[in-house]
Order: sequence, then C-alpha cells, then structure tokens
Amino acid sequence: MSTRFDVVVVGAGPGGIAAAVVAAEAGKRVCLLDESAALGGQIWRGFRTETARNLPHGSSFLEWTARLRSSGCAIWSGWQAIDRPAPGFLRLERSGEGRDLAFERLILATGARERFLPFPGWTLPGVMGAGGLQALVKAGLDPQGKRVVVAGSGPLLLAVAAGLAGKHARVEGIYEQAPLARLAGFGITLLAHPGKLVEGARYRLSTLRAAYRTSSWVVRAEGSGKVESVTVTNGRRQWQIACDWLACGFHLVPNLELPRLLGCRIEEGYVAVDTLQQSSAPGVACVGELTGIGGLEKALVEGQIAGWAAVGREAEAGGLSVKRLRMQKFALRLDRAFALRPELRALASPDTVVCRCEDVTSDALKDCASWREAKLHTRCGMGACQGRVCGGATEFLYGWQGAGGRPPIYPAAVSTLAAEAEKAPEPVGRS
Amino acid sequence: MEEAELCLFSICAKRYDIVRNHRIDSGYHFFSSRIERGDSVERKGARMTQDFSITVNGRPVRVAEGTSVAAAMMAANEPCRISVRGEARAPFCGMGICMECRATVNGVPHMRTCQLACTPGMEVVTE
Repeated sequence: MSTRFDVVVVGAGPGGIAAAVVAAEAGKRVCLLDESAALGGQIWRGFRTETARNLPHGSSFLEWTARLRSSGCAIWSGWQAIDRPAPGFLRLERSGEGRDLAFERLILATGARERFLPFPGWTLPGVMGAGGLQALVKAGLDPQGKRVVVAGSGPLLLAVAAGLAGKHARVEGIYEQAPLARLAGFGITLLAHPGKLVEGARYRLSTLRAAYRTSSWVVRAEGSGKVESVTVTNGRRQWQIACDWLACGFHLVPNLELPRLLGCRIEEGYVAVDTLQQSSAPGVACVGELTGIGGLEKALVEGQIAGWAAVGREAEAGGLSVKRLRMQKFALRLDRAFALRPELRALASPDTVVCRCEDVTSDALKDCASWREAKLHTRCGMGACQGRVCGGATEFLYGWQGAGGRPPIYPAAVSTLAAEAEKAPEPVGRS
Repeated sequence: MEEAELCLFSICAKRYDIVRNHRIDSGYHFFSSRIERGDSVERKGARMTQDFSITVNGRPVRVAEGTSVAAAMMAANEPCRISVRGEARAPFCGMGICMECRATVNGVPHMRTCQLACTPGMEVVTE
C-alpha cells in the first residue's frame, strides 16, 4: 500500500520540522516522518509542550511545533525509512509493517550521530557515548551519585557534563582532545554569535567543580565486567581516574545512509548542496547536519530554505541566504576547532575490538586496504549496526570511505523488503 | 597553557540540549514507546509518575513510567546482549544506532531497548 504526498520530509528534528512547516503552510501536501515516536530529533529530545519553556532551546521548540501542528502537515512517527523501491518512492517500516510513500520532492533531515573511536576497554558496560549517556539519562537512567568521566571532543561534552551535574552526578573531569589554542581561537570567532558564547559559559559555570582539560584524551578503560577506572593522558603523562561511567564521543558525523542510498553526492564527509539545499540527486534536498555539523540555528535556516524551494518560491529562500552562509561558516569553524589529533589513531591495541557487532579486532583489519576489503575478509561493518559505529571510526583510523548506503539501510522484516513497489499510488487529501 | 582550565571561550553547545532544569525529568518522562500507534506524537497533559515492575532476566526491577528498557537494564546491572566472542555488552549510543542494547522483550528478539519504553509486567531477557 502506498500513499502520495507532494513533499516528504525525513527526520523530525529542527531542520525537518522547519522544512515541513514552510512547505505545508504554502499549501502543499506534506508528510513528516521520523523513526522516533516523539518529535524533536536529538537536540529537542524529551521536550514536551508543558515544560519546554524553561529549557535551553525550549522557546524555538514551542514555536516550531505549534506551527507544525496548525500547518496541516501529516506526521508519521515511529516509521523508519529503509529502502527506495523505485524512483519517487520511499519504503518505510514500523513494527514489522511495511508501507511505501510516493513523493514529488524529498527533503532529508536525518541529522547526525556521535563519532566513536576504539580504545582498549571501550566495549565494557558503563562506557557510553557522551550524547549516549545524556539520552539514557533523559530516558530515565538515574545518574545521582555516579562518578562520571566525560571525554572525547566537541561542544557536546560540556553540555553533557552540565546536564549530569544538574542531576547530581559526580563529574570527575571533562577531557577534550583539542588543544586550548585552537579552542581559544574558536571562542574568539564566537563573538559573532554571542548567544552561543553565553550558552557555553552557562554550561561551564554549572560544571565548575569538574576540571575541563584540553589536549587530553582517554587512553583506555579498565574494569572486570564493567568500567571501574579510566586512564587519560595529556601526551606527556598518564593518570588513572576511578569512575562508574565513561561518557566518550568524538564530535559528530552526519547520518548519510539515506542520502547515499538516493545517490546524493558526498563531498568531504557531507552532502554537497546548492544554495537552495538541493543535492545532486534530482528532487532531493538535504538540510541540517547532513550538510555540515552546525546545530540548531543552521538546521532551522536550511530547513526553511528547502521548504521554500520545494514549493517553488525561490525568492523567499534567497532571503535567508545571508544567514545560511553565516551558519555554514560557523560549521566549518566548528569542524576545524574540534579536528581530531593523530594520536587518537594509535589508541586501539591489536586485540581491541573495532567492529562491536562482529567483534572484529584492530589486528584483523591491519592488512585490509579498504572498507570493502574489510567487509569481505572480516565481516567488519556487516553486523546489526551496518557500520554506523565502526564506519565513522575506520574513516578516521584508516581513511576508508563508503560505509552505508546499501538497502535496506536499517534491519527490516523480509516481508517488507520483498513487497513489490506500487506504481500508481492513491493521492490523499491534506490531513 | 595547554593543560590550563578552559573557561568561557570554550563552547557553543550546539547539537544536543541539556536538561538543566529538573522539572522535565522529576515527574513524568516523555520517552514514548516506539510501538505506540497513531500519529499523535505528544502525550496530552502532565501526569504523576507511576512506578511499576518489569522483570529483567527473571528478576523484578522497579521503574518509573517512561523509563526506557535500556535504562532499566543498566540500573539493574544486567547486560543487554552477549557479543560474538562472549563479552557482556550494555547500552552504548543511547539513540538507536549502535544496536548494542538489543535484547529479547516479551519474547521478541533483537529489540532496540533504548528506543522502547517499559510497560508493566514486561519481560526482558539478555540475548
């Protein structure tokens, strides 16, 4: 069974919501779909109307979700995009049920995930992503009294530490691999974005009890059965910190599986788009983190541009071009400031697992020349996550490209995959 | 210099928000079940937290309404799955991409427990 819309938007974070709102308000039949049951993506995770006002970024959440609700846009939550059965169609699945969506224009806003890097002990229970721990805490995990080390790279680390401190965890230190000089330079450029400066300062003030060390990174996690301590280094000496949890993520990487499947050209790790957010694949626009890690404001601006472009109102889209350029420059600066240091390539020892799904070790990969070769010889990247974790790692460690992008982009029921694509879907009215 | 404490300059927290305000989590958790039907994405009205029990590997575990199965398994110190070479694995990415938290829930294997909310009487087994 398939349903036809003028515009289909994948991903209900800020970029997707902004795109859907603009297109639906302009009178198009729009469908906004997301794998999660809730709106908001990652940055607005766990927000709800009653309490969002007091949260950072809460007012923009309220504004955009209110507009979404009155825009007439159809919201399909809990649906996972898994394949493109034919040009102009997307195949979705929810709880084992498959469905095809037909569209004229497609806007992808699939966001980003953390980059994870392998180090000895990173598979121990209690070692999590930084955003990962934050998401688990929002989902009911109580951090009160837990000793937590926050490490890796990126602005997310401070936000995570502040959130944990606010819930009475004992943050034992924040270890940022980027050097202070580079971060200070980045900080100065933030004078052009005072809001972000204030936000960063606020996070830091709420974590003053914990040291924030730059040029420092995790060497290994130790423990039997679960993490009990972490060894960190500043390149000259190493020291050990006892902890219950390690929250460790190395900035973010875009979720490129769907753009790759649809044939969007990727340049330097991001989807290449024109000034109207259009990718190289006809009728497919990409917004937000897919085109550069830049956060909420960038996603909102690009989403609106893609929304206007989808309804043929290029003039309105053009009105946002100055803001768009500014946010793209910010994304570039962010990437440069938090670029990963080469020492991180040497963390994994020969018996360290690189592919967590299939337990493929660093040693097993040492003779492989490419992602494809690694898959053929070792099953690296062929497990349940389909390279979502080790793809980002091997890209940095070995320079391998091309993880992901083959259907199904998510594990799906055989019945869903085998269903034939319908050719003449029924149009639906605006819901 | 490099080791020095980095203060105000540092950061523009961008991508993820934080919950500095306790209110959002102190009462009612918003984490909705993935298998929830219907297109409405927000539950209406605030409710008081209801505690109830689930079983994790046969052991009863008390959880607050809205808690994800992954969070409940972590709180119970139970692994979600045993890896190819026999290691215990627990939730890792927290957002449904790494698949480390998959477990058998009410007899259904390979459920991503971080994307699934606990329901009363739910039976969860390490896989």
